[in-house]
Amino acid sequence: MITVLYFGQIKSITTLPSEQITFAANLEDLRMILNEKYPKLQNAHFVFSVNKKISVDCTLHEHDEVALMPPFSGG
Amino acid sequence: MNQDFFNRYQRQMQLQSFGYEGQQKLSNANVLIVGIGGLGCPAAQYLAGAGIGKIGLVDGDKIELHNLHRQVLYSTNEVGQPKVVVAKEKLAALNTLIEIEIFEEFITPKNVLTTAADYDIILDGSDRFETRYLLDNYCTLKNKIYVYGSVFEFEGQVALFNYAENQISYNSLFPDKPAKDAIPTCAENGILGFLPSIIGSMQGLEVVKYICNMKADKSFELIHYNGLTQEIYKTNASENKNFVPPKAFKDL
Repeated sequence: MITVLYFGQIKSITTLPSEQITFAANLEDLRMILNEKYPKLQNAHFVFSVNKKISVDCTLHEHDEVALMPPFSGG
Repeated sequence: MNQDFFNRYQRQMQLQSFGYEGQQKLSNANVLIVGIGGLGCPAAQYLAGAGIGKIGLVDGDKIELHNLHRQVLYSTNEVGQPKVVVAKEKLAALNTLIEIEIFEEFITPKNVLTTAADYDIILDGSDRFETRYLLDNYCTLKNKIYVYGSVFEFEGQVALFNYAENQISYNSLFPDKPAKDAIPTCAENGILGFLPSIIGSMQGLEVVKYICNMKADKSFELIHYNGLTQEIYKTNASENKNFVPPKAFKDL
């Protein structure tokens, strides 16, 4: 299982703060799974953070924690 | 150093890791605060109180009644007055030992070079992506510290960009600039005053830690704060694989 965390406007799309995904081989794989589940994510701005490290592309493993971090603009 | 100096700052100088040396560093430092609103007000108040030697305030807005629930530096009878003028008056009254410079304008590619010229640290209290990308790009080009803070409903983010050896910039972290209306602002989604107050204070604290070399972790951190759960989630980036070079000024 991979734990996926959602923040800010991403959480508004998924309506969940986090969830478990059974399997994703890598970030691109995870992106496709999430895009299918939440079509609005395709146009969303965010960076992946894997086990609390900003990651652009990497292999995922059992028990990994992936966060989708969007930029905020309010001030 | 006069008696006022020691009296005024004694409580923070009592901190062993800060001391007289830390106070002197603050006195010799300068910070430009862009946007004196929800984030900029608390940042400006505590940085002025702490004794940053020179503070620049940039904002073209006038005080509005719907600002007051979160911009508590201002008063009801000041509605309609320029934010920077009122802010300067109040901060100068708060701390008579510091210099305050004001710019009654919005930061643009045209004025950023002159407005920010005398400042080493740029604190972003703005509420729009245009300004964030511009300030970060400027800081990357000029090798200055970009202190990012922003809020979304009950959440907030803080980060120091272009800090130390790792040249991580906001432009590199989020290379695809969202369209103007892509992400809701406070005006559209609403905000409780406490959120920008916390995030603006966190930005101010990061500034002091940077100036006084008190940062526990020297690597880049994107700090996420959730006001509903009171949880902080920190992510870091040890190296910047997708470095986006800053645009030249003519292209800004």
